[in-house]
Amino acid sequence: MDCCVVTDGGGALIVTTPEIAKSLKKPLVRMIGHGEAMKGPRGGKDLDLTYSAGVWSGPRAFEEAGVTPKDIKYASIYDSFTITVLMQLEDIGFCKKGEGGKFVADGNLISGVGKLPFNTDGGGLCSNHPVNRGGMTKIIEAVRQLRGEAHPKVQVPNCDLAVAHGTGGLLGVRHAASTCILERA
Amino acid sequence: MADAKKYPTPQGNPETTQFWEAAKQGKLLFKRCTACGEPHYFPRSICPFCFSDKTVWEESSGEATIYTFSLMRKSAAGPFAIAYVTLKEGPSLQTNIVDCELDKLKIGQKVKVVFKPTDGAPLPFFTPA
Repeated sequence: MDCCVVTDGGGALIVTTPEIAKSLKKPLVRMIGHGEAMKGPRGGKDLDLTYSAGVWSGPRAFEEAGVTPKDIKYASIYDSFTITVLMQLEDIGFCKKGEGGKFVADGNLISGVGKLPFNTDGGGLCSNHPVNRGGMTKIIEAVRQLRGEAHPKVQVPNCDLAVAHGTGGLLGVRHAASTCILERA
Repeated sequence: MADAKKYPTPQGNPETTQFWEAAKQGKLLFKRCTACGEPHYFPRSICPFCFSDKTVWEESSGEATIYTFSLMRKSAAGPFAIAYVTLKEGPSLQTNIVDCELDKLKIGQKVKVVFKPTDGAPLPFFTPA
């Protein structure tokens, strides 16, 4: 089964005012756009499992940030299963619908090789999924990349714009997606 | 192997009592909103489309087609097929396809409801028609 690992673990983020952030002696990261959306099966009407709520959360986040998927230097995308990543790459606009497999097979997610370095901490499939919560570590690795604090072997040069995106419950009755665009200040 | 499977007992509540009582009679119920006319499943008191409380029970023919399915070949309870099926009356629902050769299932295949016993009310699943 191509399913994320189950691990222990945890994380925390500090969200504070620009004034306090500047006093913390760390490279600054700010959120410049975000989007959230829900897509349940709507009482069973017109069921369509070929797309996720990312088709709404992604564009909202990019619009608010005033950037496009082509501008992104690094992506953290929730990867409960391989198919989760393929669908999200398509739904939030990194490639056309149906071309996610080719996009990945061409090496685009590999840092130093492709157009969209991705989950450089190993992600859920290869590193962590703390107590069934996979979102926190996605944002943490995006912040590491923007600060230049990722592992040297996978650090994206001059990484100044990143996306973190998560989904859940895609096949169930309470699916939602959330996207945020993070920028090095 | 499938028939030896022990299914969990459904935990009813006031909103679903009639559904499980009908299941004991071998009937699959869904709900329709008389304010907007839309049918829905799983059944609830408030219409998921227009939020009206004017929802009424209807009996499904039990006829459906497979929207999609996935085979779980290894599990503690043996192989099974999880699926979404679309009822003839409109709504789609998540279920299992049972009493069949799993490798022969196809998207678009016609299926019909079949109830499996539990320690309480029986559970609705589907099987090739």
